[in-house]
Amino acid sequence: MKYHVLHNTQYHYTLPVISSQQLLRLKPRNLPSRQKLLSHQIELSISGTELHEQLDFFGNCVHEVRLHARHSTLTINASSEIDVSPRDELLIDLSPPWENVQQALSFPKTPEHYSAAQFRFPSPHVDVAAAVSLARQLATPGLPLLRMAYLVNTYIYEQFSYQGGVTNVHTEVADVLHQRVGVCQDFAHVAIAIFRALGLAARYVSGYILSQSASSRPQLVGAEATHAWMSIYCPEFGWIDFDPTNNLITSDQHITLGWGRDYADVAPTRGYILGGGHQSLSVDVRVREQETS
Amino acid sequence: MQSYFVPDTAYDELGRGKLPEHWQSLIHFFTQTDLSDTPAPEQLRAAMLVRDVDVERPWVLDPIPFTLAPDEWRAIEKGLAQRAVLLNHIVADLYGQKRLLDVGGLPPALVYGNPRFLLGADKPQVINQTFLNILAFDLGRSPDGQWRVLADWTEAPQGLGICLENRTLSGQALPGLFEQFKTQRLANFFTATTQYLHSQAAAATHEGITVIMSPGPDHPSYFEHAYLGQYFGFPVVEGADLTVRGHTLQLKTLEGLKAVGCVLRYASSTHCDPLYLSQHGNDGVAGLVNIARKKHVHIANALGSGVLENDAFMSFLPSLCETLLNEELQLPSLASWWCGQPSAAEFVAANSAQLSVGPAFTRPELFSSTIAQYQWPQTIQRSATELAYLDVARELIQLSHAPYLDSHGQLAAGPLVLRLFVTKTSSGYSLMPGGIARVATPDKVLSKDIWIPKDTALHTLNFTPHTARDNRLRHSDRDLPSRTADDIFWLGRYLERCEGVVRVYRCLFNHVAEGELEQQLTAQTTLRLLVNLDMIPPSLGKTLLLAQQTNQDWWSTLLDFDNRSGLARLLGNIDRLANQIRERLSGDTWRMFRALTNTPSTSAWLLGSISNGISLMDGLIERLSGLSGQVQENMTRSYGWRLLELGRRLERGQFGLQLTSELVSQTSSSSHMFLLLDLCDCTITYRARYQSQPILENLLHLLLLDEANPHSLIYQVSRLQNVMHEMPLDQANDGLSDSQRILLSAYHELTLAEPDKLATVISKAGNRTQLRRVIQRLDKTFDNLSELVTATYFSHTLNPMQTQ
Repeated sequence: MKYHVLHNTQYHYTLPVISSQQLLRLKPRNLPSRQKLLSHQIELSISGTELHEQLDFFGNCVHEVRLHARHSTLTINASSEIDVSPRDELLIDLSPPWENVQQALSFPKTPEHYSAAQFRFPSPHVDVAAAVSLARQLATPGLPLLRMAYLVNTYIYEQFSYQGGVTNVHTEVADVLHQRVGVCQDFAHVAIAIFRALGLAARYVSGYILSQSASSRPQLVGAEATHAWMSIYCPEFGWIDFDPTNNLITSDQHITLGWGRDYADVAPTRGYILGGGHQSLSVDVRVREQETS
Repeated sequence: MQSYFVPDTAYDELGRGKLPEHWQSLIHFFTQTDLSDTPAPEQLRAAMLVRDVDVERPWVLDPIPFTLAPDEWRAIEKGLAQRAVLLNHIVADLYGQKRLLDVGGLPPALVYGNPRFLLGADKPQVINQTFLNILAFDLGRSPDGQWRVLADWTEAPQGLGICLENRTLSGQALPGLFEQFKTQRLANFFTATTQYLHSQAAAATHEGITVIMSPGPDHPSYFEHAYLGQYFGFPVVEGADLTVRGHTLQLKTLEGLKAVGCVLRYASSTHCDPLYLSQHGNDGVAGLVNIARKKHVHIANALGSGVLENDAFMSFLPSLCETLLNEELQLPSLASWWCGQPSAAEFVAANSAQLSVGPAFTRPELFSSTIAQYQWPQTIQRSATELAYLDVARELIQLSHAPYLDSHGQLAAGPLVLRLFVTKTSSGYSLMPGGIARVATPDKVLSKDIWIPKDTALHTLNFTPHTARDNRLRHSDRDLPSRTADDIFWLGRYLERCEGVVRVYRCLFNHVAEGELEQQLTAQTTLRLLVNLDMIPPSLGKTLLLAQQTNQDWWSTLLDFDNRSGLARLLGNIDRLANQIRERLSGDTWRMFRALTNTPSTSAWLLGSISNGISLMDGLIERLSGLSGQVQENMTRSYGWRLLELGRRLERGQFGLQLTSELVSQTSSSSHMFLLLDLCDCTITYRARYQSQPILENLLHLLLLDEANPHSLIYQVSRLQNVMHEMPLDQANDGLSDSQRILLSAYHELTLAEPDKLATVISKAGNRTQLRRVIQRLDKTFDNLSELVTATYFSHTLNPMQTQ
């Protein structure tokens, strides 16, 4: 499926900003055999901007933007064309028991396991300790890892209600677990915390989803801005993405921007300004299916 | 030597009665003098010096230096140089090639589970692969006589400043002994460090300067950063003083932006770049990581190098040394068991009573770690399954004992820990021939200088003094950061304001003391003046006016030094600003600032007596004048001096205008005129010139227009013209610069004023309208100049904030 994504970010300040620096993670990754970036561009509303492109620790593309011109609004327009292939059907019950995976990742014997093992630890937004008791409750001994992931995904979908404005980017896992309310980012953090509490490797994925489909496909939640979900590492299967907000394993309706340990590693925009007074931020994301000829 | 007691189980540095050769001259010196009744003069002297330096030291300096036999020192030197190479290798690998982050390398939890492994600092290119420039090591000696490394410090090791201070004190206290002992100097170590940092700076950016990046004056070790800044001649800056432009890091100075080639970092990594390295907070320089990654600035030590500052890593060093260097680790560490490994966890669970179990990735801050923690168990009973990668256990060590002088001047013994420093030089890692020794006494920890005698066998490892000295003249003042410039400017203003206010108080006390009716009226005018100068709240001003006598309440309302308002707040501001620019003040000037701001607390004056009030104010005036003299006579005519002068002149001008406006802009009695003369310190001049009752016309001429009177307004304006002329960035393309224009208009305003008209044009309501107009216009002119100075030189000093 081919998509065109327009991601518009606007900052308004009550006082002029003297200088501004931003880290943008708005360029979708290429995924072997799953996702191909066909074109990409970033436009800023202010001329004289320094733009430095680089790869971060996880291989995500990051743009560092530096603005030295006085301004009171800033618009960032990212536009991407992406081709996403559907995921092959997964026989999740053929995945190894989760305890085996935990053992394999504790003392990794292959480079792949070793590299996955970096996602087993607490990170700034994922307080693993907060999820330990829930994780023990959900982890039936001997369950195939991906089956368990599926159950956790469904558990969050059913037990937590999707509601904007209750949580923010700094909300802790413990609070989300307590309130049982949040948005996609909170659900991803909760799911990740549960898996890490069991010694498994889980990472945070930032991306987009198609909301309004021309075809009869179901409408998905979380499309007005960037979306987020979690990915779990399973030997033989690789990284498999689960979207707890929509209770599904991702396929060709999810477009991956990048991944990291949690939101902080892949925040679409993150900035630092001098001046500015009060600030307001508005984000608008449009995902459009393109005709495949 | 009865008080000198070393337990049987510990190693005795003094050889158990058989005094080793290297200790003989020192112990002889300290035991030869009869120390039983009075403290040794050396000890007194050391204590005096400690007070004099006026630093809140973490401990007291013991006069007995610590020393080691040459062969032992040589072994430590080799061992620590090897360790520095090894640690540098490990940091380089973890952030670069990552061969250790793979199968057969380190356990993933040891690195990825360590919050100080900073993913944002990944893939740096580092000049000469020098990730670690300066390292510190804590060492202790076990009962078998073996030195062991207790802790490696790789992030931003503290203690170099204390080392220098200890050396200054001990060298001054015991000059004869110091020479006789042939103590190796520390200067070469610092010179080699500076030279290497300069070479890194030059390799990073053309004409790049080296700066010390400090978390700021609120940091407990700030005095050390200031001290090192002075010693090295590097500007001490904070994150807000720096900015990234293009491919370079720039320092915001009075002369505009200047390229920085090397940063000697005393801020921890997570406070260095709010964009790349920290989730919260605004400390540091946004984008620094990106400049460092491209090799356009050298950061000493590299960002993220704190990853090695933990006990968990120590148990891996022997095998890492063999893997990475193909050598055996020469100096053993204190044994540690990282519970991320099941076998270690089992061992720890079974033996926890004999071990110290603690967090794997956090260590107590430098120097707050007590010597006791190495010696006594912290019993946390836990099972092997509960112990995990966040736990580490350390072997307990019975530390060797070294001599110190106890409070009775007797030789006593206590457990000993050394802190030694290693620096990268052009010929590899070198150990400082000295360091800090710490000895625990029953009630505190003493600090000792370490004296290492010159060792001919050591010459290969000694520094070769560079013949080609760095001949470039360093005008460090030209790198004056804008923020510091701002502080100096305001320091000038506060000093002047303080002097003015103190004169008002003194007038008040004088008139109250004289006690005549008409003088009481003057006293009331003075009180009102203090209210208008913001020294006393208006409500209290009335209370004070109505009070019949000067009782205890009257005094405590007038001068409340606990309340941080009024005069106390002014002095507090001076203290704060002087602190912030401390590294730019000479020792003498600094002491004078301390004396000034400590005057209220140190002078033994009692509330309730006029004469004590007067002598307090006399004391303050004396110290303020002393400071002015110090600044005039001894401060280089640098930007710093000019900014101080700018602040003073602006303030003196505006203060004079305010007084004139308050006292004579309405029809006024001669007592007001006397008061004005007195407050402007012009009484003598006036009397000498006119020898009569004051006439306003003459008085105005003296206070506004007399170019020879250093308190006149026109004098301030012409001083400001001179100073602005010497400031950078004050040139116009053609014609006059903005500041010249502003000051010229003030000058004209004054020269065109006619004192007789100023004095005699009076409205029906009794206002001197012409005088008022001139005062208003001049005041506005001074405001404009102040705003211009702020906009031109201090505009980058805004507080930054984060966006989502």
